[in-house]
Amino acid sequence: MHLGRRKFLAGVAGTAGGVVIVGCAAPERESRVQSFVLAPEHSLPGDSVWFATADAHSNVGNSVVVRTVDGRAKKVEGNPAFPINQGKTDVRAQAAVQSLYHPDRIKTPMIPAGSRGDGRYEEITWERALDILGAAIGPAGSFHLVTSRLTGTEARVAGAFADLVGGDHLVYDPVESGTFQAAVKKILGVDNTPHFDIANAGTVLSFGADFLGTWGSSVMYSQAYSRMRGGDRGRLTQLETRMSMTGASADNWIYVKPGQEGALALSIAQVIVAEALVHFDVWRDAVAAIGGVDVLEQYAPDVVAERTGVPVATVQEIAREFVDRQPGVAFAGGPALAQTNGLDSGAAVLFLNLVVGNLGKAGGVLANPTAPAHIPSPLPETPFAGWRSYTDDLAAGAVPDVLFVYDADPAYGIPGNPGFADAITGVPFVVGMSSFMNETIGLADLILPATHPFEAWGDFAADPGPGSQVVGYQQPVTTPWNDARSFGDVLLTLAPELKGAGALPWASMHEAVRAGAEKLFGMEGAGAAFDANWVELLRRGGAWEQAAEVPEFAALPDWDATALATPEFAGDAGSFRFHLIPFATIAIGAGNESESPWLQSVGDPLTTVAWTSWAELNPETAAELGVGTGDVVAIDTRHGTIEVPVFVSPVTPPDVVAVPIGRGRNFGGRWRRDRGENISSILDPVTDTGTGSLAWASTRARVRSIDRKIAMPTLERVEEPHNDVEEPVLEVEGE
Amino acid sequence: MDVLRGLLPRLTRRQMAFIGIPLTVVGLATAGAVAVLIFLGASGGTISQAPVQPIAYDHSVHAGDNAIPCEFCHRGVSTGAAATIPSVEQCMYCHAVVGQDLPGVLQLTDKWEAQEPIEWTRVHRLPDHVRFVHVTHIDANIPCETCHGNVKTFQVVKQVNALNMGECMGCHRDTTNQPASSAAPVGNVVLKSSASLDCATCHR
Repeated sequence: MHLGRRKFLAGVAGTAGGVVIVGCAAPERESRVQSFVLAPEHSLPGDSVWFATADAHSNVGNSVVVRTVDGRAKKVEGNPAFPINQGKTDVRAQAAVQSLYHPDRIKTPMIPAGSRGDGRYEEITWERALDILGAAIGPAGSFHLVTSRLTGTEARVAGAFADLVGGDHLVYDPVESGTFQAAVKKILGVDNTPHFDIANAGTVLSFGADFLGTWGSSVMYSQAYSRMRGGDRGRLTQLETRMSMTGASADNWIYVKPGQEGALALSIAQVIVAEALVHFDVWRDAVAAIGGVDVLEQYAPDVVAERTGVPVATVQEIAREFVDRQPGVAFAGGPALAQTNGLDSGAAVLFLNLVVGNLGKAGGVLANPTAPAHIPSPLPETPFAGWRSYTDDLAAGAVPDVLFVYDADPAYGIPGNPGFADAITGVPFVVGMSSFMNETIGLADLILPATHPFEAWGDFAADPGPGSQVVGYQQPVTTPWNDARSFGDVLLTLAPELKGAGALPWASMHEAVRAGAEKLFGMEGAGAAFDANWVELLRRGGAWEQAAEVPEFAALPDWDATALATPEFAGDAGSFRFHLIPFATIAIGAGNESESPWLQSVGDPLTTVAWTSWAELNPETAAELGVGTGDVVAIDTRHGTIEVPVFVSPVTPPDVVAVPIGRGRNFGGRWRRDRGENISSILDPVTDTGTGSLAWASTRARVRSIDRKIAMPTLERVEEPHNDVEEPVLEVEGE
Repeated sequence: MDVLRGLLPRLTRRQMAFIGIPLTVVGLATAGAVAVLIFLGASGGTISQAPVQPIAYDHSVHAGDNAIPCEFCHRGVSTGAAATIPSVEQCMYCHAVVGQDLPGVLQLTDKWEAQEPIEWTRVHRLPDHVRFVHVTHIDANIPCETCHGNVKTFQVVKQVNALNMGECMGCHRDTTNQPASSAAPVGNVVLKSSASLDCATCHR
């Protein structure tokens, strides 16, 4: 056939036209439209319906409202009525919808298709999964339940189930709160978190607590901080070893040598006492209780300046300002408490509140009501020392018949040898339940898909509260996206099968949560009479008007400052010259939310680095090592080596290398796997001597240059630090 | 031209013009044609055939013979953007006791017993960049027939109007023949259309 020019052009034009027409036609699937079987009365196609529920990723108790369209969750906003977050959210709450629809969620129950942990799985039905689980737990001689810090009714159901089958319940959290709570107990005599009234404070002294970013109830504190900044404009002094986001916002940022926060706090107290800045009636008894004025004299600024790294004049200024701008509040958190002397440091800092007499005062420290017994605040985690000995016992062969792990990943987060992953190889049957695979669940013999919080029932008592009792409710805003079930519902389904009908008082989480609400309103067993309250409760997202018992602060601290523990560091200073300071980032926290690409791509507020791990180094140190931003270095500790790129930061102290936690995972979806390094893997398993919590900021490290460079994934171009003080940034001409 | 000259250094200016001008003309013509086709394709343009539905639902029996008002089944039409198709449950309100032995009702009953949705084939579809809100038109007393034709006579529903922007604008611009809207003056005299002509009313 002869293909002439005209025919060729006509053919080309016809093909192009056909492609355009076919491409522009509506897809065939869009011409299909399904009727509801049962049409929801409150919803119209295309219209938004908002549901109040719990913030999926908050362990402190925020409430959100979720916009749903046609039964699907679309957008998260803060619940404007809720007293804790007051209409605001954090970046993790915003990304909750992405976790909900994540393509790498565990979709169905699974069993290994080959050997345990080899990554090949066979999908099974829930019926078969529950049969397998029941057959394993039923005859088991010993049952261990490992969970995250469960809260509210879910915590109670887990505890009740463990009791029912005669098992032990261990709680794992990579960022422990035990040292802080123990310090609160010693100084204030209460078991729950007090309310630090930042909003009404004239001065805030924060020792390492990144309360605007990752510490405590950061959404509540951020709003309080905003109010503090308004009006009389209170002042924030942040004292820490690595500049946090809060430090970057502070009026005054003070570098403290690691582990010396307690000495510095007592030094401030000594100035207040010695200069009689506060009437002695206020502090006399408290100072006497911790050892007397003589003890404080040992921490006079000139005595401890070298230890703490804070000049005498600076300590005096902090002390005078703290008194001048009362009410003031002092608290400690983060790396300050993650030392071998963390408990003493936390106690010393909280003691400052007693010296200026601001307990129970607006702008000071207020007591929070105890959570209702049937809606407990988050369960306290098992201290690291307990986890370490548990891991050693497992490795030595003292294993339970069944180990059920829900929403926790000790195989990723527990440093030291043997690792948790190796230790559980001898456990005959491991059950893992979560929304995403992780290092621990990857080793399970039965894997169960857990619901996203937007698909399940729950409740919580906010911890810390705002000085009053706040209970929040979590209701499903959408039907489960996958074949997932809630953890509580699985336990409540198993209980009657194992121990007969009525073994636990509830048939489902919905029933259990509602029963708890009836009790909260004093309408236990009210049934239909409670319907109107129940609907209103869910509509508002919680209840905060109920009167509750408020514990009283102790009259005197139960703490002795005469033998303030000195910090000890893992690794000798000669071989390991740097203090290795891990830190949580605002987006992925301790790594639990790192499956979300939205969160992975959120730049760290100070460095703007995203998607990977990095090591913050001082410019002079970096120059000494011959590295710059983007150069990969090896960080050695006594327990191993990781390789991460450097970020040269002028606010990093010369003897510190800071690395974010939460990355370097092998499981959990395409956006979580193989990004960065796991800093926990090289930490020394040393603990706080007072509580047994992991002293995760007390490891020393060596930094070596290796001949490799990467392009740093930063949101902003990295500028060389501008150190020429002779050159003014802004010149004002004229007068 | 400098770029072309860099790429094709051996061509003369005349040769480049000889190649470049026809290429430009063909390019512009193609872009224009694509734009027209996209516009036509996306804005309805053609009137669809009456598609075959999974159940042979007859509007002439329901809306015609039995005079069931449109809103009785299309319940969203007077409250929201979408007219909505009735749920299986809603069909069963009547067909649990009416016409149980008819073939279509037997199909419906099977779906209800299996608690499965009916997958209808959409007849009317506006492009994604248009937000059409039924309730504002119902509130303005526009009869359903204006856009959808005399459905009460249809055994099989088909699209009778193009439902393109020209038709929308025809009504929205018409200041003489407007149906009395609820917001308009009382009486038969409507001085000016109360329908919006703002782009953002529908394209947002």
